[in-house]
Amino acid sequence: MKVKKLLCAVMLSAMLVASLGATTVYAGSTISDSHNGISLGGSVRYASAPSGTVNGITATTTCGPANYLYAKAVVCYKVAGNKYTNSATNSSAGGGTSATATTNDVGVVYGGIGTHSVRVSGWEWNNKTTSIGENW
Amino acid sequence: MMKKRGLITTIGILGAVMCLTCGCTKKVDYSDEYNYETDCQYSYATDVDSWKKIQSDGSNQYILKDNFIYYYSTESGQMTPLCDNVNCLHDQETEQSRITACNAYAPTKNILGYEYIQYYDGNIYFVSENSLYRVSKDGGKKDIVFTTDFTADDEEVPVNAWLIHRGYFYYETETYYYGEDEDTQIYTKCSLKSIKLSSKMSEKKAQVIFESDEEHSVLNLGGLKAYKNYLFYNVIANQNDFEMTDNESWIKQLYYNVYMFNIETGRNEIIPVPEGYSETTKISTIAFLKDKMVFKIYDDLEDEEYQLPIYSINYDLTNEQIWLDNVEQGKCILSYGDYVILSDADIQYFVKDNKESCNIEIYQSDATKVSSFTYPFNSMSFGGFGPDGVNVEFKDGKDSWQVYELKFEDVLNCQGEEVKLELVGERKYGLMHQGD
Repeated sequence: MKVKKLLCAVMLSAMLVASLGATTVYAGSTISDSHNGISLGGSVRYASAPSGTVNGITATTTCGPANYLYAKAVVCYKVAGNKYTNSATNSSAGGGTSATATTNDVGVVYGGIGTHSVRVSGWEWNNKTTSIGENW
Repeated sequence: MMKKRGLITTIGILGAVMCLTCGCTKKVDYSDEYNYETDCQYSYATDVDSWKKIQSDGSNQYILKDNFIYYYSTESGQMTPLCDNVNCLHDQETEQSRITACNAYAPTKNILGYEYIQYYDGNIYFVSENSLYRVSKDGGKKDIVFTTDFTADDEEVPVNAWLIHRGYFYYETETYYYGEDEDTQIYTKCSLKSIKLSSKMSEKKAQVIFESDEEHSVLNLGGLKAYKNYLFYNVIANQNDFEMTDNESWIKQLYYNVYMFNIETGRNEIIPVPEGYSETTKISTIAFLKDKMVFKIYDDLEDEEYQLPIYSINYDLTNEQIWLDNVEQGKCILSYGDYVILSDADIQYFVKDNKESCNIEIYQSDATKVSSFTYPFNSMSFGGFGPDGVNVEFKDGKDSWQVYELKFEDVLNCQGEEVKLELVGERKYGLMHQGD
């Protein structure tokens, strides 16, 4: 758990820039809402190794002035004909947070699920999901 | 390849020997026959690592769906959350404290995405984070029976893959270690342990079955299944310094092996890939028959329709032979009693783009085909038949989800026709459902 969080923290800045910029939008891969004029959002997209090969899933949760933001990414992949999952979580106190679940550069990525939660002034936007590709 | 296999195996065997020399628990005489009360319900095992979403007590089913356990009674034909707390609305509750108090609430999904339950000897078990929970089969009681020890840094250690079989809880945990650059060189080490199921479970009594070395970073220790006195699991790992350059590079360097642990003798060994295949050919899924197991092999450099044999081998790993030749490697194998079941769900879904149905074949243990039929669902896997001889499938609708059943005895003599499943239950979505 510790390492997954560390990895997420390392990637956080880059992922946030990428996910808030021009990303390809997939069916069901984004979700948005608003509460008292505050916009909330969740998205999931494929992540790639430096070589460019897809090796994971990044889930991003955004909200302006929030007390707590949470993102969880689950990547679905296959190795030797069997279906596996891996996940990662991250949280922050405001702005946005991203979590990237990777396959450690093995397997074929088929899709993934993002889970998004926001807590702001006692109000909760809990466990909203986004998905991309095929999931199991 | 041999060197890579040896590195992790040695530690695994040492762990097993340590487990035997340190273990002083009294042995219970489990029958040589499969017993669904105290044995892993292997016949549900598909190619999905997180396969135990349906369990049976021999006549009724327990279903994990959207973090709740549901009970389907064959006798009453009713499907209800597994909770008999008075005034509990179960999956329709809106306050988190009331949801948590519901005995049917089972927030199982962990960091590896595992999501499953297990029926064992009158109770349904599930793992949430670092604890093993037990729910009585009547839904009257839920308690925690085991929690892993905290690390020296006072951090929780989540349980990833797990299985209960013949009196023992088998579970996998991960720890991390670092290279010279602690910011980027972070590697995963995993351990598979066993502990006797009791009212006083403590990790101090746990015995190590397998532990990975520090030259590999483990992605997954999973695929846990058990049959009679054998526990099976697979290990997927990378060399620490591996960097993917293209799709082929990970396939060629992958450490992937299926292990077989004899719970009586403590012998822990890799099931060998039959001779004559490339280094990228791995043991894929295994299915269990009464006197032998059958397994398929898979080459990640080839597509799903590439044909390879399915092999049979005795439980002492002797008498390996081709059981059925020229089978598409994308087919999934399962077993029920002394029958082998082949499903082409993956091929239909991913290659043929057919998301509505798949084809099932049933073979006797001597590889004689006795039945084939079209199954009118395709959720990327065919879920097999439980110890009660019933296949359970659930389907998501707009506002509710439905449970369908198919009896093994009704499909044993099919001639390729499409079978019809019986709708046995329907339930409105609760708040935990967020769509699929």
